[in-house]
Amino acid sequence: MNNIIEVRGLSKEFKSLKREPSLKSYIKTLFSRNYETKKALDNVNLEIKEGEFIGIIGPNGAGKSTLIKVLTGILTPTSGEAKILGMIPYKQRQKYTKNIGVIFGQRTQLWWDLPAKDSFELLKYIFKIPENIYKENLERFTKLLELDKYLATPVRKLSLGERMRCDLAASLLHNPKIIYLDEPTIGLDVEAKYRVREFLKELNKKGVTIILTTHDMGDIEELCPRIAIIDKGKKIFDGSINEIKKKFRRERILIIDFHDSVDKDKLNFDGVKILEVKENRVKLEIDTEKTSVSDIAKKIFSKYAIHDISIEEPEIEELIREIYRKGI
Amino acid sequence: MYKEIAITSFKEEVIYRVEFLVSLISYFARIVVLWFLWNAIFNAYGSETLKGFTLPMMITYVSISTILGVFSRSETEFYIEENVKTGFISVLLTKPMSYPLFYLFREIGTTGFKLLTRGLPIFLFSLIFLNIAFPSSPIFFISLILGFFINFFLILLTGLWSFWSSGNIWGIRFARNVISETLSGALIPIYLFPLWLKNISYALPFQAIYSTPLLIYIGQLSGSELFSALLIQIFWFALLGGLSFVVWKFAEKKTISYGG
Repeated sequence: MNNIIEVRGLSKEFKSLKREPSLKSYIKTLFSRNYETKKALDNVNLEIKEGEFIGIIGPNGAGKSTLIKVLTGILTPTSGEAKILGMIPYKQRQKYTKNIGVIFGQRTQLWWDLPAKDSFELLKYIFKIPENIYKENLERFTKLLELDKYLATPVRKLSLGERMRCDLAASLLHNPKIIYLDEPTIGLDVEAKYRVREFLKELNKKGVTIILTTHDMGDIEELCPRIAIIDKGKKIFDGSINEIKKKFRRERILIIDFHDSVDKDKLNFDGVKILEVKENRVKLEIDTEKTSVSDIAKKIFSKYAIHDISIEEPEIEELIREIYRKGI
Repeated sequence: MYKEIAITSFKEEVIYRVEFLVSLISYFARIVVLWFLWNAIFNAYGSETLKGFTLPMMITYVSISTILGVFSRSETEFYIEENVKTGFISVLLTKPMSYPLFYLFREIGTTGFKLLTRGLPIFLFSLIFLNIAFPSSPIFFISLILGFFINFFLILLTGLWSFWSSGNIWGIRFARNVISETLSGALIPIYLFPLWLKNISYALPFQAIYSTPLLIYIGQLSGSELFSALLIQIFWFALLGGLSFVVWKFAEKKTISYGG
């Protein structure tokens, strides 16, 4: 399939005024100004195919939002180019935005004092949505997101989760080909998160390309087959979660409950570290470079009576934290 | 699509019932105070006319001027300021529409609503109890619409200043309001000003918002005077409209180059 989004060598620099806290320096800036440049995006390349679901993650201030702003056409890069749906977003903003849906998780596009239905109605005209498509979509989204109870309530009276669901519907009424979600699950409770995620999965199945930024690793694990990690403006990783797991955590934790107490020394295999022995329970760390979990399990099974066994997956959140801290 | 923006704004205004009542009362209070004031002035002056104005003309003038006061209570600047401060501008820019036109039609919706809910009752009140006159010429409505646009462009320009002042336009807004209130002829007809102040007023666009339509309403302008007053309005309309367009283009460029 073709690339729907092509980003090449994208960089964005912001200038900010340099000022020391002293009064003298403040007065000095009235006459001559020293700017310092900060690179929010540094030579980012990104290709996204039609129908992909990609998660963009990175620590606060890494440049995720800047990237989303460039992709949605509301920010011009300093150098490099973004070509999306055959258009250059920041040069053909009004034409381009007809084809995309955008959600900024911390803001609402709905009219605050009016019921969401009125905002929908206005969007119908702004995006020039044909009546039959509007009706069909409204019905579909109302059902999928269970909106029927909220559509007639003024938006300011809705809870965050209810509002986010209305916002989702609002940005999708015009059948956008691509949707951008900037932290859509921020502040939502588990139930609302679940609904939003299910809805996004459903949309993606229908062929909509979805680009999502988040700090919630649950979003990533459940939704995104592909992730890109951005740090200090650079793309430092682009691939699947499994790749990250393989690359960064070679150790697996094996927990075995023996029937009887077991001699610690007899569990000394190559590539295995005993982390903990507590009555009949033993916790082992297995280095998958040197040996495999199944090998070790086989060896133990053949010698001992086993009550229960479990393998701990490395926590994705922990992995990501490590990457943020140490880099790739 | 822009028509629906106006309709939605209209609907939104309906929500604020308390605000509606309070502001209606303040409009009434203004009329009553001005009625007493001008009665007292004419009594003290002891003449039928004051620089060409009779008392009934003056009462008509200040009643209609109070109704036109809905122009100056625009929230557009406040919205633009908020958009810049909170970064909400991003949300609006991701929609396939023109930002200034969006606010123009919002203004049309809210002004339409205010004229209907504040203007009409005040007009009927003044008609019945203060015996004010009807407009002397239908040209009044043309002049009124021009005045609306001139006022909107000035407000838009003030609002757009937010893009360069990190969303801080309190000072410039305050200055505009004060000048607009005093030098536009909204409170006191410009005819009554001393010559030097009159000259300043005529050099500024504010008199084209209030004074021109008001003078046409009471029939003080006719013939070539009326024609040239309309031309001046059209001049300000074109100049400020063009300026708004250019300033918006710069603001847009600044936003998409430096971030909202």
